[in-house]
Amino acid sequence: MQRSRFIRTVSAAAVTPALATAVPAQAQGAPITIGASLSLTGIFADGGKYSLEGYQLWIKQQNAKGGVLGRQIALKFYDDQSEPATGVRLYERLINEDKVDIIMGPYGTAITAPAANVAERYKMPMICPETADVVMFQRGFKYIFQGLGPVQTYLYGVLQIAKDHGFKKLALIGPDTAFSHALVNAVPEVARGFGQGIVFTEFYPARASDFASVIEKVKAASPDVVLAMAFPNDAIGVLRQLKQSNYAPKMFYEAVGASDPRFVESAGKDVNGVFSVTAWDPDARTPENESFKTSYRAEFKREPDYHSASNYSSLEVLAAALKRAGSLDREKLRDAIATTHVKTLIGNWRVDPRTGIQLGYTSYILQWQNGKQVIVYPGNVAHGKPLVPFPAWSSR
Amino acid sequence: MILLQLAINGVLLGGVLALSALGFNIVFGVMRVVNLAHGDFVVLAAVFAAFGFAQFGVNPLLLLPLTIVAGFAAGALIHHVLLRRLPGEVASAEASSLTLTFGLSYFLTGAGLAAFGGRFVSVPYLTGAFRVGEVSVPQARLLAFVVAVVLSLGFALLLRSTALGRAIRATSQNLDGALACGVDVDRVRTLAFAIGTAVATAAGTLMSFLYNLNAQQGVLFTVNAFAVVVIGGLGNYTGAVIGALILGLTESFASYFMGATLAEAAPYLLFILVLLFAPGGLRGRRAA
Repeated sequence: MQRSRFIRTVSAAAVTPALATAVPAQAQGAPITIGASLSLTGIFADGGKYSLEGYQLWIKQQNAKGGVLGRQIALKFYDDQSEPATGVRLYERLINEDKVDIIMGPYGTAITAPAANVAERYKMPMICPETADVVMFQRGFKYIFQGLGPVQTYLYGVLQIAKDHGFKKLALIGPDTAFSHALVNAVPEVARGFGQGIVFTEFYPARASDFASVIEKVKAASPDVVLAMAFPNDAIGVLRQLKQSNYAPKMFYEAVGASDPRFVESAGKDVNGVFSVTAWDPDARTPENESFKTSYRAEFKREPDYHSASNYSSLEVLAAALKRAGSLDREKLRDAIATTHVKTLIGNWRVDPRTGIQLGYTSYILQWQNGKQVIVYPGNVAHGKPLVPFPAWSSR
Repeated sequence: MILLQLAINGVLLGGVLALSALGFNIVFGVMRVVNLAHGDFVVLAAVFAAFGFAQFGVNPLLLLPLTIVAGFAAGALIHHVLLRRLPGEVASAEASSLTLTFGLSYFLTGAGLAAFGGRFVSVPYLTGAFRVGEVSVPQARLLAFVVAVVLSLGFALLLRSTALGRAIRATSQNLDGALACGVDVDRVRTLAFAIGTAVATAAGTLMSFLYNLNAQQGVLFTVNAFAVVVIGGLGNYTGAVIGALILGLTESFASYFMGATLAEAAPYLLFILVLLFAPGGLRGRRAA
């Protein structure tokens, strides 16, 4: 149900007047305007806010360095309230009324998929830093590019860990949203490779608040591994009611629902043992990572999450492509994005030039251990070993 | 065993629904005001409790007295400044109070978003369950259930056997008659709105143990309250508890046997059936 409309637009240049005056002399002319719609209210608000902050931080830093193509960058953004139809309208508005120079993707698969139609119709290249779904890239579109590891990378690590422990039976639950369906649909192929089978699948309404009956059904199917394709707003309820029904599967995964560093604030001690997935390794000891985290904390007074990093990275790609294209010409920019290979904060950007599907990025499996997030997969960057099985509720 | 567990889950969910609907029912029962801002009071209290817990580690049960006093004061103030000034005749007052509380709901949502942001929050408190043999009884839900029953019975008792209760009943049954008998109608209505709001905020504090919420989720509680109260009988406090139990049991069993997405429709189906066959609610007054 739609409530208040909080439409805000902010020019990043206006936010940082001190920096604007310190800009080198080559920054001339009107700023390049980047337009985006993000979910700042509604069910995707948690992730949407991180996404916006990722865009904002990069723009602020890049403007201090002189912008791109000798011009400052301004961000024009709206709140789509987590509603796909609103997102579509806002992209139309950004293109037709605000006449932005470039558009960047919104938060989440549910809104990216229809927004991609708008990008395609107006031949506006759009990097989509917030969708792991691959189906939307298989529609023959030319102007959209995936800025996260594709959906299989969200599953591969956790199912590999399951295989290492000999777990074969999977139960899949999740909210009735586009992203959750994309994940569930991707499971059979990955699971088959590991000799695993699906014993139970069910979706619950996106705004569901009670999961007791779904959990009883999962329990009755007696899987080894429960994969809840959850978002932050339902991940808490599912975890809590798992505990209340005293059910501890051997592994419990909550996809992006439990990857927010602040998840523990609402989940408390019950969080330990929960697996989740992230597109960015916050503990990687690289200078870029450290500088990103320090600036982010200073700017927003909180820890970044992978959405922040992914949106930040997508603008690094845009800048690299703009430099190669040498202008704002949409066709040139489109070709440049499709063929640019660049190292960003979250990995090595490389897309299939034909579909725009991400080939370079991967995902990392996190596990909550002693109230902290630990990367447990892939092995070469892991900071700890996976804690398996999920501890029984009575032994905590 | 599964049937017993589903029944327990359903009854406890019913308790939660009853608790979150009680404030709404009090306001409607006494004042004939459909308070569309009801759910916003519930979620604001919940988000406030989560904020206090996350920032300062305050046990939300300790916050409860403060929340109740704040809810009572806010309710009294809103009635005194806004609702009291609406036109006196009952028919037009119902329509204009609907518009007013609708506006109030928007205001509270916006204020909540501005104060606490859009994050979904919850308090990890009483997250466990009691084990009785093979069956689980979740602690926070049990608490909500007990509080709902105690408050509903308490309010029913207050109505039946105190002077204030008689004044409230007189006011709700016949405004002019009550006035003629020397009841301070304005005071009674202010009290009713204040009590209704305080009960809503108290419920909200407990809801923070159960649900992950942000300031925009108020409408869910308003809709739930409406369904509970229509099924149980508007202004009937024991009836509302029964209505809530029926809804809770329906949701629990329907989710298990029909699937969670389909079960979402079950309460509304029930709602329509009640409106068709028992328009006064299961325990409501017959139409006068």
